[in-house]
Amino acid sequence: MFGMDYGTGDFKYGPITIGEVPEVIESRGYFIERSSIMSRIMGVDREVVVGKDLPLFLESREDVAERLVYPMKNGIVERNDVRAWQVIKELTNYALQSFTLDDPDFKGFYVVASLAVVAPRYMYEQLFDIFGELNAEKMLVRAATIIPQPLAVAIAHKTPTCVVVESGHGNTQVCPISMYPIRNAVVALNRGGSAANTLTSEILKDAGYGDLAKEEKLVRRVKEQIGLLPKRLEDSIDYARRNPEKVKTEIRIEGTRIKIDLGEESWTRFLIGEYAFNPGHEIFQSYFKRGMPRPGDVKIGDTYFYGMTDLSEAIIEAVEKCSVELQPHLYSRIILSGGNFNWNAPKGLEGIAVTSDEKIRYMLKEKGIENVQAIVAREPTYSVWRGCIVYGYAVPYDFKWKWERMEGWLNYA
Amino acid sequence: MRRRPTPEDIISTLLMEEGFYEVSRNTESTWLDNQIILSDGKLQIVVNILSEDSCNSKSIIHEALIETQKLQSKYDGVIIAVPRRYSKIVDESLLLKYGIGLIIYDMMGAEEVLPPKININRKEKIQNTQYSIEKSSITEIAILKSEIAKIMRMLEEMEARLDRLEKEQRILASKIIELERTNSSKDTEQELVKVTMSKLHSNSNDNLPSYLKDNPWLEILSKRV
Repeated sequence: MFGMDYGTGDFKYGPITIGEVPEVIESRGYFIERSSIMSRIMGVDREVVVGKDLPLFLESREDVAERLVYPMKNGIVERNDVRAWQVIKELTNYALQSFTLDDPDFKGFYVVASLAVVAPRYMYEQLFDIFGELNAEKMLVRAATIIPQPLAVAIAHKTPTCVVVESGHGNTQVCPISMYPIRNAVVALNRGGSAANTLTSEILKDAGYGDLAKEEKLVRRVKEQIGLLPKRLEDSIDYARRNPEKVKTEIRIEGTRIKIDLGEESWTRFLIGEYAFNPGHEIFQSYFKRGMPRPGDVKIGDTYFYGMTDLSEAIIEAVEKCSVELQPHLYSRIILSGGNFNWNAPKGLEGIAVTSDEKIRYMLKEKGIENVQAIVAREPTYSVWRGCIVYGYAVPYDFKWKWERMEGWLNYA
Repeated sequence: MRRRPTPEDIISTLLMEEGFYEVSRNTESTWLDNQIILSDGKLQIVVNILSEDSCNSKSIIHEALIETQKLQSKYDGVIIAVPRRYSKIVDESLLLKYGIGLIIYDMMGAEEVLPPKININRKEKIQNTQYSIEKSSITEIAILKSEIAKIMRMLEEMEARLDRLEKEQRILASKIIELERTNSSKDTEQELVKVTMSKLHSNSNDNLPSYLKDNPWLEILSKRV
C-alpha cells in the first residue's frame, strides 16, 4: 500500500509501513543543464531533478527562475504543460523508487494517489498513464486509484459526514462529504498559503527586507514564524498598537546571519492570518493599490476559483448546496486541513490571536450559524496521505476502476 | 441273423439307383402300409406302398389312390407301389392320366412301370415363392441398407458432435484450471495482504497508525462494490 498526495506546495508519499508520517518533498522539479558542473559531478543523466537533493543543483537566481518548475497551480496541472507533467512523472518515480523492494516476489505497490477535488479528468488519465509508463522498466505499480483530497482528509479524521476545508499552498477546496464527496457542492478558492506568502513578502518589503522578499522559501518561513490569525482584526490591531512589546518579535534564519524584526510594524503580523481567511477586508486595499496582486476569480477546467470570497462565506455556500436535512450535520463537523490552517495563539496573546477553528467558529457565528464544531486537522500536512493509506487498505482489490464513479482500482498486473 | 428286406427297402433301392436318396419313412399310416419320401436334391417324391394285405380291399386301394393324388400338391412327384401279384388291379391309364407313378415289387426286386409326372407348376410356384421371397428380401435388404446408411450417417454426425464436445470440454477444462490458478493467486495475494495487515495489528497494536485505529471508514469503504 502506497499513498501519494499531490499537493500544490508539497508532495507527500510513502508506504503504509512508514507509520504516521510520510516523506515530504517540495512539489517542484529542476531542469538541469546537462553540461553543468553539478550534473557531471553527481553523474546525473536525467533531465529533471526532484527531491531532497534538488537544492544542490540550483544555480544562479536567473537560472532558478527559468529552470525551477512548480507543476501545479491551484492543485491543477495544465493539460499541455509538458515540463510540468515531466516533473509530476519524476516526483512519482522518485517516491516509488525510494521504497521499492529488491525482493523478487515484489510485484509493485497498490498506489492510492490523491488530487485536488477540482482536478479535471485529464489529470486522472495522465496520472494513470504515468503509472503505466513507470512500470516499463520495473513493476512499480501493481494497481492504482486516485481519490479527491477532501475525501482523504475525512477518512484520516474518521468522519463520514463533514465539511472538509482543505487549504494548501495554492488553493482552498471546501467540500461537503457524506460517505463520499458531494462534488456538486464543492466551492473552490483561488488562494491558499501562497496568498499569505505574497502579503508577507509585501510586509517584509515595507519593513526594509526587500532583498529577502524575493526568496519564496524564506518568505514562507517568515510567514510561519511571525504570522498571526486575529479573532477580529480591528481588535487585534488595536491591541497590538497599545501593546507593541507583546506583539513584537525577532526571528533568525538558521545557518545564516539573517535576523528579521518588524519593529513598529509588528501589528502587521495579524494581517498575514487575516488575509488567508478574508482578503476582502478593507485594510488590504492599500496593498492592492500599491501593486500587490489581488487573488482573482479564475476558471480552470469547469471550476470557478473565487479569489476574494471569505472562508466562512465559502463554507456556507458549499453547505447550502446540500439538502436541508444534511446541513446541520455538516456544520457540526468542519475539518480544517492543510498547511494554511497552522496558526497558533502564542502565550500572552490568547483571545487576540486564535487558532483556525476558533476563527471559523467566530466568522460563522457572525453570519448567524450556530452549533458549529470546527476542528483543525491534527498534523494537517499529512491528513491526505493518511486518508490514502486507509482508503487503499479498506477498498477491496476486486473493485475495478469506473470512470463514471471515479472510484476503484486500475490494475496494471 | 440276416434281416429280410422290407418292401420299403426294395423300392428305396430302386429309386436310389435313379439318383434319389431317402429323406424319411412313415410306417404308421392308417390307410396304407408305408410311405417313403425321397429326393435327388432338386425334386422331392413320395412313394405310397400298398402291402399285399391292403390289396385285398378295394376300398383301401381307392382310398390309397385318392390320398396319393392329394399328395401331388405337396410333392414334385407321387408314386404308388403295389405288389407284383396285384399289378393288374391298378388301371395304368388312369394313373397316367393323373400323373401318378407306378412301381411293382416283390421280394426279388422292384420295377418302375410308370414314372410320375413331375409337378412343374409346383416348382414354378415354389420358384415364384422363392422369387417373391428373394424380391421381398432384396427390397428389405435395400431398405435395411438405406436404414443402415442413415444410422451410419447419424453415427458419423454423432461422432463429429462428440469430437466437438470433447474439444470444447478440453478448452473449458483448461479455462477452469487457468481461472482457478488466477483465483488462487488472487486469493494468495489478498491473503498475503490480510496476513501482513493482521501481523501489523497483532504484533504491535500500540504501534498501529492512529488513523487506522477504530476508523469507521474501514467498514464503509470495504463495502465498495
